[in-house]
Amino acid sequence: MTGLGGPLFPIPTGSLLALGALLFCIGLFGALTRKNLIIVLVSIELMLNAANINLVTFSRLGVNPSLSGQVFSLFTITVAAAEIAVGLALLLAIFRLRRSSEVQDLNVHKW
Amino acid sequence: MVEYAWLAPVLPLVGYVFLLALGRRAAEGLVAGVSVILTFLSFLVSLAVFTALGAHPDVTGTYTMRWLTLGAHSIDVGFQVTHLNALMLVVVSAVSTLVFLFSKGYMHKDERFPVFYQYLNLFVFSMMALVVSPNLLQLYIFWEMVGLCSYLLIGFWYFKPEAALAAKKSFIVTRLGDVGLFIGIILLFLSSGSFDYSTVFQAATTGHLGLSWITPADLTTLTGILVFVGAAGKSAQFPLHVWLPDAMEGPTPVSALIHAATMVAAGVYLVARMYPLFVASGTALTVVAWVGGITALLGALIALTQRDIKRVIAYSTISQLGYMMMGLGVGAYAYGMFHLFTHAFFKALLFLAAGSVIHAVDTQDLFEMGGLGKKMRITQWTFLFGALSLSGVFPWAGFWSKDSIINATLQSGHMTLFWIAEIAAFCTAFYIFRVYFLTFHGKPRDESKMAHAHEGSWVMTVPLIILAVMAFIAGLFNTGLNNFGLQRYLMADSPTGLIGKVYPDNVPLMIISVTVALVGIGLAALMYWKPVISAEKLARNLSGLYRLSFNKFYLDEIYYGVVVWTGKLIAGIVDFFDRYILDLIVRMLGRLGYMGGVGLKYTQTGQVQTYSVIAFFGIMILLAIAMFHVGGVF
Amino acid sequence: MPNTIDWLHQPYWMTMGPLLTLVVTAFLVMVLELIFRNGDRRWLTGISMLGTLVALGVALGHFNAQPSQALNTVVIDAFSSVFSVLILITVFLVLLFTLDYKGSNRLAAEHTYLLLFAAVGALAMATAVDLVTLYVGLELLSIASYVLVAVRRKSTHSVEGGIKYMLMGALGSAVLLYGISFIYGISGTTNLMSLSAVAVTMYTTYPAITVLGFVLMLFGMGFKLSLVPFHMWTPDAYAGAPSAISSFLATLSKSAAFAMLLRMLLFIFNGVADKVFFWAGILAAITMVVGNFIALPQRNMKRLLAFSSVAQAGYILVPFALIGASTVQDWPSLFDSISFYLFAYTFMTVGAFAVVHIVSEQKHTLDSDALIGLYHRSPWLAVALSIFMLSLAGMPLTAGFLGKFYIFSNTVQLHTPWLGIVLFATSVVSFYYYLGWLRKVFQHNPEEERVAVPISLPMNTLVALCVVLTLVLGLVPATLLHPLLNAHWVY
Repeated sequence: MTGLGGPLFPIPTGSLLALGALLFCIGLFGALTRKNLIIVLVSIELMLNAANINLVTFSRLGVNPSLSGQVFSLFTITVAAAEIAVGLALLLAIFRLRRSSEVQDLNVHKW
Repeated sequence: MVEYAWLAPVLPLVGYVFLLALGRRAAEGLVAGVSVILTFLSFLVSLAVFTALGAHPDVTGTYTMRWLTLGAHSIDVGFQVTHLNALMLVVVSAVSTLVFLFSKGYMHKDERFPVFYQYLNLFVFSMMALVVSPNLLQLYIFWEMVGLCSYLLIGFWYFKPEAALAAKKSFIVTRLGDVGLFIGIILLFLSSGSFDYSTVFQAATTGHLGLSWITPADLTTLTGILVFVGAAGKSAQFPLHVWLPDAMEGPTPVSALIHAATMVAAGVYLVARMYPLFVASGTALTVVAWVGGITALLGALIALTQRDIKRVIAYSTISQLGYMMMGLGVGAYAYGMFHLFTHAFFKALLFLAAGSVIHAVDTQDLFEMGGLGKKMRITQWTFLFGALSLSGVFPWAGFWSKDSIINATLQSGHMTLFWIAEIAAFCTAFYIFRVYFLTFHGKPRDESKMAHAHEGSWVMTVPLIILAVMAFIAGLFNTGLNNFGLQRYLMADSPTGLIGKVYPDNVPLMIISVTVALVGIGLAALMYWKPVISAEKLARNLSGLYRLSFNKFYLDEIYYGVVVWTGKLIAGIVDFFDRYILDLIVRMLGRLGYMGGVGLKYTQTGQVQTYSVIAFFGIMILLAIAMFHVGGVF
Repeated sequence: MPNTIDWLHQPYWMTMGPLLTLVVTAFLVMVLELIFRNGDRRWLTGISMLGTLVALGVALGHFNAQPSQALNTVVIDAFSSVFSVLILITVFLVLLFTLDYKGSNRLAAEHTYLLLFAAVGALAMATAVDLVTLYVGLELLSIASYVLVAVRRKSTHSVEGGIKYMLMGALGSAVLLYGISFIYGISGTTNLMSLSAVAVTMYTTYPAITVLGFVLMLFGMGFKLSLVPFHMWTPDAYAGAPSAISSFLATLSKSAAFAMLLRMLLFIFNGVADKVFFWAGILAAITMVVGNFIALPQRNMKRLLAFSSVAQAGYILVPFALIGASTVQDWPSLFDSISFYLFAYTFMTVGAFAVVHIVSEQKHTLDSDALIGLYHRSPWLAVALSIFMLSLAGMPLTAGFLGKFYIFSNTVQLHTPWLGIVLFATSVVSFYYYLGWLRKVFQHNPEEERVAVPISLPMNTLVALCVVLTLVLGLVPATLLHPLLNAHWVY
């Protein structure tokens, strides 16, 4: 899948997909390693945005370009916002209980 | 009416559930009353179905619903009403009602009275459900259930070691037969793709019963014989008959209901139900005829010398079941069932009368009885009716049905079987009148026991009288008087005449048969009533034969030697293997599995990021394999 | 092509009737909850149950409707009908379950409409045929579930379970979405019906990307289905959440996720099933093995049920894997297996959670020793729990046995016996822990006083319903199988 660049922006699809993949990996790395819950949430946001970049790329430069990719990414952004809102609410709740927003301190349940 | 036939089995089931709910402390009157009323209702339903079919022979039907689906095959549950089934329903419910009534008196003051009735109700339900089963699988389930009920009831007085042993023996021996039946059913299913009778018969009669490793004809014979093995186990046919005499350890009403009239007849019913299969394979039918004949003779010979009143009647049952099988085997479908019908009444009568005697004198040994006739008029007369019927004296019921079977053996050209049947008939008349004279005539041999003997209450005598009437008139259902109604009725299941033959009456033969019976009775009278001939002397002169008969041809001992010892040997080897090798392996595996579980448990560290790492590690590995597998990355 | 759609004449009610009914009920309850702030507000649950019943009636009314679709987005076919009915029954049972929480033990009133919104999402997952709608439905269900797990916001256990579930769930969503984006990229459409038309072309042109898309979507859904190795949040979330919510997670969100996974994978990959579905088999095998073994040493009742639900998800995934070995003619029988098992699984799991809830409330512990002597304290609960456990383990004459039996016979018919063998072997392992509970239930503890277990009316009703349904499915499977057989499967 090379060089399906559009008329206005002659950027190869591959580069955009690589950007998406990179973003996904950065997000994943953050989500797996960062100690602070807020950063973890932000990292997950990055992963979702990687998918968005893919969708938008494909909607312009895919095999069969169509609008639905962009529509999909709009939905995704909205849903992600809701997800993060709930995430922050849960974060607040746990902070009130434990006085900590470290991921490691979530250790009541184990084994 | 036919569509309501399901009520017949369901009513006793309702009774069972109701008695279960009442518990073990329920009042005897309530328990017996409910049971009798429900079975009587069931009898009325059966009778209505029976007459409905008589009026309109074409209203037979199958009512099923899908139970499960296995790929292309499906299994249904439901009920089926045919002429054969309707007849069986009437027999089972009629005898059950009377036995339920009788048991009220017989089991009076037994500690587990309600439990007894629970088992009986469960049995009647299973037996009727067996009869109306529309396919072999359902039949098999209820086949096992009646076996279970029989086991429970034989061992009802489980505190008697003999009873517990007998229950176990009956269970094991009939299981042997059931294994045959089960294999037969599975083979039929594999080769015809269905458990339904009609489909199986269709395949069998058109030669489409096919498996890769056997020809259709051989398969028909093989399955026929396997089904017969099951029937032989249930119906106590040689060589699987050994459980039935021991089953007499159960309460006498149980012997009358299960081990004379209904459950043991289930084997005969099964052969009749599967008749098209047997007809399709002549060999299987011949096997049925010969096993039946041998059983008839063997049972009669052993019965000659037994001392226990119930055992004599039990061997008599074996012998009579042999007659039925022989009738079916020589192609006389209707006569076999006709004999089942009459036998149910006169044999239940003999057992109940014997029960009445045992209830009165508290012994089962014939040589401790005697002279009871004066104290127990009703029992004596009803027993006499049963004995005359069993002996085949004109015009009692047994005469008509037994004679038609003997006639069928003669006319179908089975000369050997004919002679076997006549000899057995002679013995039958002799042994049953031996019992009669020893019990009711002569002087009491044990005064102390005879002193308190008296007739039971009405609940015990009324069933006896009703059964005595039936033992007298039941034969008339298939005579010239009603234009041979029963055989026309039964043959309506197969208008093409595919199921068996009927023969015209043979008056000279009838005269011979009655003469044979009368000679037997006369001999018994000479030996035990007016002792002109000494039984002891005869026994001494024929001591070899006497001992052979008295010891039941040593069959129990032979079985014990062969079956039990081989069984023990194999069990020993298996046990060793199991205990020292398999067990070790299983233990090791169990321990390993548990340790694995513990190890896995500690992966749950509680750290959500560890969870994610493991998840993505899994994703990466599987993804890498998947990509490698497809061969090519982008 | 939006301009070719006749907007006015679409079978909206037929395709979305249950969903719309639930949406209206949910908003109504939400508003009522805002107006009436005080007192025992369990009557809101009553309204919700009523709405659910109406929706169930609508779904049953259209059960055998001719397949049709609206707006190229939602469809009605046997598939959507069966799963809608299952989802609505489950919501009803869970709402009944929540009625038991009252007084000092009560849940925040928001749980009522959150459950309804989650059910709306689940219904969307069962009826939609567009990836966008499916994804939104999934997220609606998931986000509502995160909140529901943390509904006791004063309890560390509850909130921690919620956060863990949320983090893992969001990761799963990201993976799923990433997979979807690739499939969209090589097809240019998000509509499943259009996708099914181009599936073969897709695979022949870009085999690697197709497989990548499939695997990522499977894994993304694997998080929601708690398949191994994405299962590790399950025990924490189940143990943290109130039992009613745990039963909801174990049944409703799984059924919906299975519905969505099946619909998605089958439509997109139907032409190339033999190439890709193999991977589901591997996942199923791993899940069955790990799920069952990890449950062996477990003493916490809810964690054990969580692992049991992991293992059960593995069983249900087996027919998915078989799609790869099947032809279109076999599909109805695979659908039957999946939906029958899901029904059976739902009833026995909800029932088991209910009994565990009652017992742990009485004993104030989740340790399985609380079960000791249950038979002497409450024979009825003991018998009910035995039925659920035997059914989960797969004893003959129970619904669970038949479910496993169908799946097993599928593996044999479709020449994939190794999956059947794994299924059989691991269910033997499961006997150990399920029957371990039974041993405790019938054990007698002589030192303990016999204190009868207090059972509220809703719990009695719930347990009785589950017992009856489990037994009916086990003894007369035709009641469910018959409608399944007569259904017109995929639109």
